[in-house]
Amino acid sequence: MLTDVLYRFRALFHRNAMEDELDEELRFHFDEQVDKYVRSGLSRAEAVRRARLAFGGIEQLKDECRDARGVLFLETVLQDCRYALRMMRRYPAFTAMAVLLIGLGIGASTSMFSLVTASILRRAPYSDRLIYLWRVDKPQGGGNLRLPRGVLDIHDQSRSLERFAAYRGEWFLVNGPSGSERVGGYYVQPNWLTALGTVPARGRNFLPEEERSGRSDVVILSDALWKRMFNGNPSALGSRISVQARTSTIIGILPATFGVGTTPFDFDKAELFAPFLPDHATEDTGVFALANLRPAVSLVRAQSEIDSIVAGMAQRDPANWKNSSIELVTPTMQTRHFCGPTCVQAHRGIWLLFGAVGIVLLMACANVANLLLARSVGRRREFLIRAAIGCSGVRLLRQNLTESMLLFGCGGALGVLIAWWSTTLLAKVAAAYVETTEIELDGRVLAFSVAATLVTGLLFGLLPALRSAKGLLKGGLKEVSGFTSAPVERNLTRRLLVSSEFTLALVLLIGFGLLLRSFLYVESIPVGIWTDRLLTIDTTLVSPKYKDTAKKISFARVLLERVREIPGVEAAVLTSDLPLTGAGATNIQIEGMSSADPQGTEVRYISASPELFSTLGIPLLEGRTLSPHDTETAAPVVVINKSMGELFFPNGTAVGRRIRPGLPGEHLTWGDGKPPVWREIVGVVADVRQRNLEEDSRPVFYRPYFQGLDAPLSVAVRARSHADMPRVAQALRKTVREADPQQRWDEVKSMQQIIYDSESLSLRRPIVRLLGSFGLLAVILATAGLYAVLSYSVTERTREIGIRMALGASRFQVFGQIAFDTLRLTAPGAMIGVAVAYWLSSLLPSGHIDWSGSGVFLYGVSRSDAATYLSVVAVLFCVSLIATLVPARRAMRVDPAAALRHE
Amino acid sequence: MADEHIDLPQGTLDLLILKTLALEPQHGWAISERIQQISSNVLQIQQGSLYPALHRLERRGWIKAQWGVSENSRRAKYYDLTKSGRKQLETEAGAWRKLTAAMAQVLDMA
Repeated sequence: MLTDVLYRFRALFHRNAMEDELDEELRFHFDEQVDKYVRSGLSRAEAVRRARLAFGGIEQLKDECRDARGVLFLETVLQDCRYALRMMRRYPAFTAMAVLLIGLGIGASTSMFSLVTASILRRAPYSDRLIYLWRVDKPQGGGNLRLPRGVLDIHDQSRSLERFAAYRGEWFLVNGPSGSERVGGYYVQPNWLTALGTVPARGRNFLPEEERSGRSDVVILSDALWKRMFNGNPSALGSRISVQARTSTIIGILPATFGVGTTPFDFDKAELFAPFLPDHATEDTGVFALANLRPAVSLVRAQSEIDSIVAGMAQRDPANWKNSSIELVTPTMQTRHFCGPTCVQAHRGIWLLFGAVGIVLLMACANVANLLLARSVGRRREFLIRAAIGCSGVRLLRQNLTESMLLFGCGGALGVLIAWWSTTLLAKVAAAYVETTEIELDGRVLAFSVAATLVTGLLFGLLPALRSAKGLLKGGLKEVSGFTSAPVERNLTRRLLVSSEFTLALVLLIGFGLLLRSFLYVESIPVGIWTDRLLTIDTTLVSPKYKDTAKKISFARVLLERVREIPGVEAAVLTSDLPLTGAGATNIQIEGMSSADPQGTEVRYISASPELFSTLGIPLLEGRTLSPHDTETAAPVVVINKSMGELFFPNGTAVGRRIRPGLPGEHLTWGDGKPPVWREIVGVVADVRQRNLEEDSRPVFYRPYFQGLDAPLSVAVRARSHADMPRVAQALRKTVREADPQQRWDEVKSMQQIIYDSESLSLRRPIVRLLGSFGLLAVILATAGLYAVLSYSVTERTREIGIRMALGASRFQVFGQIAFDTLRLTAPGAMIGVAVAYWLSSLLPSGHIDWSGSGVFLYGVSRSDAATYLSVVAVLFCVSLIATLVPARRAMRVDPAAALRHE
Repeated sequence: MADEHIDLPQGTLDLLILKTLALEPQHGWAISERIQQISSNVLQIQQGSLYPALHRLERRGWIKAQWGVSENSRRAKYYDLTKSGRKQLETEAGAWRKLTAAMAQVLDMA
């Protein structure tokens, strides 16, 4: 095989040398033959004559030798390429147009595909040797991933796992050179980094004795924390910072690449690592674990070993292990599993955009095919002459195909450039929308663009090539010189292409229309509060000092007082969860009702200071709202929303009843470490959209903020006037910092901003925007295609139009004829498009949103929404009319006398 | 003379060339002469098929060409069997013997 290729290449590139050799070889043979004849007694002249006779056609022989050398094929390809390049140069406008169209199509689809690979098809950055240990609880089948006590024993008993490492999440309070900060991180066993396949970029990993000795005064920082806290100064290594109020030495800094693109447990947001301590494993908070599969051990075998180990542990320690099993999970499985509702919707959106971009690509290619067909008409004469001097149909087809493929190849290259240039832009759009690894043109993406180029090139290049080759076989040279009507068949192909472009554009635009209407509808859904002039700031109270409830409550009181005193503040409120930001959920019991009765529905719970309802403008429907007298010493009370009243107390008897969070027999503790108490319902308020704009209202109860506090804390203030807002925002930021300088606060946000950023809108907005731009592109492409075909047909029919006008047709009739032609081109395509769009729209998730907030695409609009369909058809109709005007004007100005002389 | 010639069956030319070259490197002219001699003038190779065949065999890597000096002191292109060519000769010769034996059996039956 290799010799073959080398030989062919030598044959190709040392063509002259090889030709000379061939000449010499054959001359040698010839001379020997002549000598032989002379020896046998012939005269030299006669000998030469006989030898020539025996040799036959020398050129033919040489050709056969060349063929045997295998150069002909490659030579032809090169020849075709050279010819194609010449053609591309000869028609620069055509070439530029075609390459640009293909480039746009391939570029757009390549960059969308890079988004697909970076989000949906992303590979977990760790090897599949890495496995996570998940806990699965037997009765329900669910699990909370936190492993039962004694999980560390698995390590000692297992032979199929190595580098076993337990770890536990923690929010660390860090006091460093840049001030104090709350930082997410893990307590990890020394093997943890090794099992993940990482070593610190600077410094060292934890040592086994650092775990055993129970010393937690060494820490490893992430690259991001190091840069933030120490400005990336290498001297940070070995220096001391305060972690959880203990002085710790920094012994290592992780590489910047650590954790990129992992969803599970947010490794990429974990910034601080401390040694895992023995008593961590026995605490109730539970631990996680990961390990590596030993080489040559399959996941199945390891799983069966773990199963038997767990069975043994269940006998020894039934309290912790009876109902649990351990499942081994690869990073890929874990990533897939952790794609929650939001992620699923984002992924669906990306597939949708990918489909849309595919439509744009097809349309661009259809236009290129149209251009190629039009040009092949212009080159008919050239083809015919070539055929007349002996070029075979197949040869001509090949050359045509080479030309198209070269054109598509250039377009594809331009496309990759466009995609490369657009990745930064795309990354910016995607960042707010979906979790991705770095968006880049890796091997898979490039392979996609090459494949897309080849497939479209073959598909749309073959069509015109076949047409021109076929036309040749039928026609003759006589066609060239005289007047002929254009070949009907070729026109039919072009008309079909334009019609299908209208189908595709319609499908895309209807999809866009339906989603735009859904977006606008969702945007118009009232949140249920008065959003004007509201400013908010968030934090989470997790520092150890707030474990004491009394301290927490007094901090909150002081904070609220200070915020109220900010000049320009009309009202202020503390709450655990603002509207559209979600909230915690729990089961509840109702006093005097059997355990099975309360529907099993989870209820959201929110803590709020009394002013919540007046400040946000949530109307009171029954009873009273929370009051300043509902303090920690007063009777426990609760206010519920309308949905909760209707669901749990259908007879309107809610006020006065008592409820308690948790299921009967469940030992819940709230943030203060105490079990929940029975609370009297004192009032019913109107519903507020707590998580999504689309969701049906869910049951919610509000506890007084000072009767037990949650960790999340939002401060919301209403400014007296719009003009006050910037000043109030600044003062708010300053006031909360001063209240506790060690507490880390988010940025000040207006309520409008929260609504704008809410999942309901932020998951829809980019889809609608991008679909809109693709739709616009589709309209332009369809119009351009239509224009090209119409204006060609007018040119072609100049003589016919001339005759009609000479026979008395009015200009208006000529226009009517062109308009009718347009309609014949677009109407069938549009009708098919409507049908296809209706069918495809059934694939768009629609209906009601579920509890978890998993989104729907169509909301508040039916998939057969007449207004959308009609307006899209109307838009395309208007646009095609505009495309008709120019050619039609030309047709109407045809001078009959000139046209009749026209050839 | 012409009556004694037979046309070469398809594919046999390659085998003949390989066999001829198995003895020693030869140039094209000598190959055709040798085949003619050994076959007692029954097989006559046309230049029109010999040279394309040589080039084809070279491309396949079964023979390789080298310029040398002929008996009458002229530059001539000598062809030599390669290792894979030798292997190919064995397989083809074996196949050919099988074929001819089988053919003979069938023909003798009648």
